[in-house]
Amino acid sequence: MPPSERDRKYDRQLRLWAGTGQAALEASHVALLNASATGCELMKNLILPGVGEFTIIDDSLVKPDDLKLNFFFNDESVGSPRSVIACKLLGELNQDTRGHALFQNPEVLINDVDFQWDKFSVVIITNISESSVRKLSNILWNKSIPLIYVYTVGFYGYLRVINREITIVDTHPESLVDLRLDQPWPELIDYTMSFDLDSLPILDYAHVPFVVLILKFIDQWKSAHNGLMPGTYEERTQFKQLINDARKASDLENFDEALASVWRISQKTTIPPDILAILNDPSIDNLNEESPDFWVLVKALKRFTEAPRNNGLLPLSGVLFDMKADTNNYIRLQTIYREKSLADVHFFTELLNELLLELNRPSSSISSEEIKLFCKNCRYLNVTRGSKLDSEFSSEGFRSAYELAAFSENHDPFYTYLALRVYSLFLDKNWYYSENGKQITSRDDVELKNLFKSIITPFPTVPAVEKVFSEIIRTGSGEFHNICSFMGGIGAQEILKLLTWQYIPLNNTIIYDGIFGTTKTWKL
Amino acid sequence: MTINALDRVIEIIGPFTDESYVPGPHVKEFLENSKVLVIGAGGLGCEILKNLALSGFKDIHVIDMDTIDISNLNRQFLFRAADIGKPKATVAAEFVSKRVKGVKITPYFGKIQEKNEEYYSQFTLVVCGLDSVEARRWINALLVNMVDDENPESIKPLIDGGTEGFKGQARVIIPTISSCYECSLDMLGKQQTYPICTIANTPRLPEHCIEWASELEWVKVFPGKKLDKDNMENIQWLYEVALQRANEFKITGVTYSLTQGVIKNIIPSIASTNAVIAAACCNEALKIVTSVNPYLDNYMMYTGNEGVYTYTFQHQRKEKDCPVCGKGNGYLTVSIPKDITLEDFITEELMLRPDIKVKSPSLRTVRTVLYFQWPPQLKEATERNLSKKMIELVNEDEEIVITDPALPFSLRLRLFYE
Ligand SMILES: [Zn+2]
Repeated sequence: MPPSERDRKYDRQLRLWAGTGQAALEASHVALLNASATGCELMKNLILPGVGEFTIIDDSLVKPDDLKLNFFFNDESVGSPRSVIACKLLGELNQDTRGHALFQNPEVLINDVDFQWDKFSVVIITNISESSVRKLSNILWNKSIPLIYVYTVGFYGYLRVINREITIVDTHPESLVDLRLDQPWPELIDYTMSFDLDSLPILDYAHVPFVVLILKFIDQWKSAHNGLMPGTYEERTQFKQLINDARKASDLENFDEALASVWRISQKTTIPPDILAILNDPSIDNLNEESPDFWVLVKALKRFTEAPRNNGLLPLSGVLFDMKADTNNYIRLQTIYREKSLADVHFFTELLNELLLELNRPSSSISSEEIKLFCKNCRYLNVTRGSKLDSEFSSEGFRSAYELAAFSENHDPFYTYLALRVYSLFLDKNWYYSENGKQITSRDDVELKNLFKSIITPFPTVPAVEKVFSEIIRTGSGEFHNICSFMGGIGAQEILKLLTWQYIPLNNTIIYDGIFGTTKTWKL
Repeated sequence: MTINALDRVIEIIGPFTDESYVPGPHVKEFLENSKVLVIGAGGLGCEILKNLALSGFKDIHVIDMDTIDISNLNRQFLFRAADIGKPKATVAAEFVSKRVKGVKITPYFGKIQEKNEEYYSQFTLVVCGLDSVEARRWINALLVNMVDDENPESIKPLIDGGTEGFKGQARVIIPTISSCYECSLDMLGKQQTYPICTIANTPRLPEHCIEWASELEWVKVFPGKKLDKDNMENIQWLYEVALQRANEFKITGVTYSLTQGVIKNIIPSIASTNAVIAAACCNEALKIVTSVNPYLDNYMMYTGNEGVYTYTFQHQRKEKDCPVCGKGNGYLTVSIPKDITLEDFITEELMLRPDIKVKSPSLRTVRTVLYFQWPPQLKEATERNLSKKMIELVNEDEEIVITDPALPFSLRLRLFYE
């Protein structure tokens, strides 16, 4: 069936997050507080891929200077509300997205206790006083709505994700292949044993899948070594020799593949540590009817690994990569992996249904697609827990950050982080962004340094931080479009992950240094 | 309140500016008077044009040979549904010149190879947002060749960006001074290809069935008719034929979307990654032209699928061995099996190796012509060499010179028989 017009338009992104991600994106509503250049660039990258709705909240009017930095204002718009113009010019990017303009002061809105934030899936806040960001971050934290705080000054960009928790099943690892060469199951063993290598004509011999070869040689090795696998490096070298000695010709790709895969058997199939941590997460202790599907699935997964028949193993992904083989043998092998995976899904579903019953939920309340995806990806689940802005922005938080920086190298972006923190406090102490266009000047250098000293007492000041101060002062609180656009790209990417529930999100801070072309991220 | 940082930084020396930096209004004048060339008006190109226009560049040229397709609209934000079918360069130039006052953008709807050295020499620098390795190699070689040691202005910095899904890279190439595009070709992986015998005899993957439909069945059913990869009916035919073969062999996974992806070699592309990479490139363009801060030395890799990760490093120039910027008698060494034929050498090594990757090469040694694609008489005369073994044709101490119409330089290599 040729694709619909919509699928053709979104083809290049559907290859990344598929129809499920797209549907989630289209069901989302994103709010932007302050139609800054960074904010509008970010929105552009969400509207193009088709976010469902967006709201721009801003109470200022377009000034001629805005046009030099923000692409989503035009000549004719000078004097008009920024929210309305940005909404219109951004809205033109995608007919399938609905935009709303709210002509209102973001700071006032944050203080309005009656404002309904719940309709937003994500909120973005840019170029605003730190006290307002802190206030908003607490409001949204309590509602579990993610907040993205982003701004730029000169060649520096800062972005912070404030999100309570996100649980991701579809993390898109490099590969989902799980061969289990060390723990073959009966069907795989039977299939392996059905080959009699010695009697095979050379053409067939050259097309025996390497998985079969390795399993056969492991068997041979084990019977000569008290049932043990080749464990040490030396033993694996001997094992390779065993394979090499058996080959009937030099140019056998399947034997080459077997040799190249010997390292795989040195890795015992177990539950990866990150997944073990998820299985032991307190979130599964007191599940109820309302609990998120993810944690219900995790609890079922834990029961799966505890079931005696599964030997403490996770469900098999059933994914196989290509290997030298004739069609029949490859498809047969693939079927064995897939059937094992299906059997695991089947057993998992039984356990899940029991659990759902305990929780007073109907057994069909988690779809079979969801279950299959969960089982296929269960080695690569991700739980990202964020932190509140308050703890980071306290003087305690600042000091622990400072101590981190003591280990950094000269132009490490962490110094930039420290300098930006001080800069932000300085702005809050002296004036608000929105109130007047006062620029920071060299006269402020002393105050910045003093402020820094007062926060980090009794620690010594750092020349690297003072250099960033001079650079910030040099740019006079001004911005560059390129840095805004860079941060808008990062911000949109992170929001896409949160909205599609795919890939692994940033947790939780990034600094971009546009002077040296570097970025660094931390969990703060 | 919006404050543009540019007007401030050009007046003041910063803590990281080069010692030789002289601040003042002339910096902005130089920026406004410099001509910059943008190659590509696609996902990166649209962003690059916007960024340069809002960075203070006033005279921008853009080249692109493509027309707008519906699948561009998810990221190429200067285009609307009504623009489908129109040239990208023209529509993009018009949009940005209209939006940003005082900026002149001159489009050229065509191939970069249609322009000569004289054309390229008018620019201060070139920003490249392409998805084609071939075009990048071409412009890189041209800019390196244009350098005249006596004339520093003949050095045209090349800023190159590329993206693929959530990943990308931005780099600065100062021709003959820093590592060039050709120097880093081996960083690309060997191209994924499927052996013809697998496709014909032992298909295992849905891709094998799709290749069977396009490489073998199409030619059989429509002899002499060229496959149009942009024609949905053609893709539909391939899909149906591939699906039928897949069913015969019990292979699962052939879809229309996969068929199209394999046939057109589609690379996923999103607005956010393009924004990041284009911004990184244009930030370098601004710094190079104004010297307000040091520029990237010389490569930034970006990965956004797992958190955000960048790796910034200095890619080393192959001063001796690079076939484009190398100064010595540099040549590549290729080790090949003793019994390989000239034909297999061409199709399995020269066409696939990332650091050679030619499409229709001609080969000669000092002693003899091995194989020439053109003129027809020479092609005919050398075709019988194709089935001969390399070891019979070339000794290990002989140099092979390879030329290709897509490359404005020749590659030299020596063989090592395994
Ligand atoms: Zn080079």
